[in-house]
Amino acid sequence: MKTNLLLSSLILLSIVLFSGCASKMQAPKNSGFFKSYEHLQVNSNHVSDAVKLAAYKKIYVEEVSVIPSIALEEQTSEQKQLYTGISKYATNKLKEALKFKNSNEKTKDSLVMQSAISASEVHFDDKEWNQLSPLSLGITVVSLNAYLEESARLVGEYRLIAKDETISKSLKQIKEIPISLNGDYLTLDDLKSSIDAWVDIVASEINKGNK
Amino acid sequence: MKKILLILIVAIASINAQNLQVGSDIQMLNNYEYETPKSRKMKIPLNTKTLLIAFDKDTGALVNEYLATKNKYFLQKKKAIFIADINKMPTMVTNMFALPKLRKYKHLIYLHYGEKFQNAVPRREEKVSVVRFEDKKVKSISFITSKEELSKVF
Repeated sequence: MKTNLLLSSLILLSIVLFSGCASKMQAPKNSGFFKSYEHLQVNSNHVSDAVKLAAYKKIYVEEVSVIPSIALEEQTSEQKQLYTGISKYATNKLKEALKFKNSNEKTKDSLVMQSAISASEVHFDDKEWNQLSPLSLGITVVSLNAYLEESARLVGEYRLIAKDETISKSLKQIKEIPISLNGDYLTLDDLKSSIDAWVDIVASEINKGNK
Repeated sequence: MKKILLILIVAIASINAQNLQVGSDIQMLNNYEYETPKSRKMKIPLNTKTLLIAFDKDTGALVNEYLATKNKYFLQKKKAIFIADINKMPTMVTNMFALPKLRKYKHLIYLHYGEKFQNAVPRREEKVSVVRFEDKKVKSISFITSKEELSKVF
């Protein structure tokens, strides 16, 4: 019995090791926060119920999340400050741009907006490249060249929730504005143009439903 | 006879055109796929000035151990890239030993797993290939074996 168990374990281990997949890490495919990207492609806005969207006059804007693609334990203090700064800046910009009345709390008659910002590495001349390849929102040995080569782009996502149901979701990559590195570290100033462009797009999408 | 000779010359020239040599465009390197030890896909930056390529365990260790003594951004500051071609390494050795070790290095390593790369780029047995670029074209190709020679590359 013990011999059989040992033999089975050895065979299984051999299969796993020789398969070439065992310890090869799976890099994340997308930079964003949605569990599913069904019905949603880059630079698309999926509205599941436009009528429901039009019925709401108030919006509660949650703090914009920042998805840095850098493990918490590896983030420098400057990077942590940067993410707080990005969140505050983007959240305030959204609140100013949206024509809905800002609600200070979630209520039955308010929409809830959840959103996130991240970065991706792009190579538009390469059709095989995943243009949503996650890129660290900060300088690391892996990301530095992408920023220096102006291959970094902001990705913004949001969903609108009404009565616990997602009625609209959007995924945008700010293709036209490369994130430029102007110093040794990525700063909020390097990102403001991209964030502003994303906020403008979001506002134009959402404000349509608030006529 | 002349036609056959012409066809032969064109054929040889086109084969060589697929190989990295003096005058080749750096873009050619992006016909191959690279990953970090954590499986993140990478592209060769077009402003690269120096390329180091190791094809076996010892030359790979030579370069990695040298780079481990430098700041982790040393390669980027020098506009350099290090490629370790590990296509000959048995999968078990790669998964059990090489990748866990390579993931501990702080500097950037490009890994190449495919077969064709080793035939397309210049190499010598047990040597590190050093390719220098100027204006996105190969300016020179050389081969080194020691830490002293490696330190002179930069």
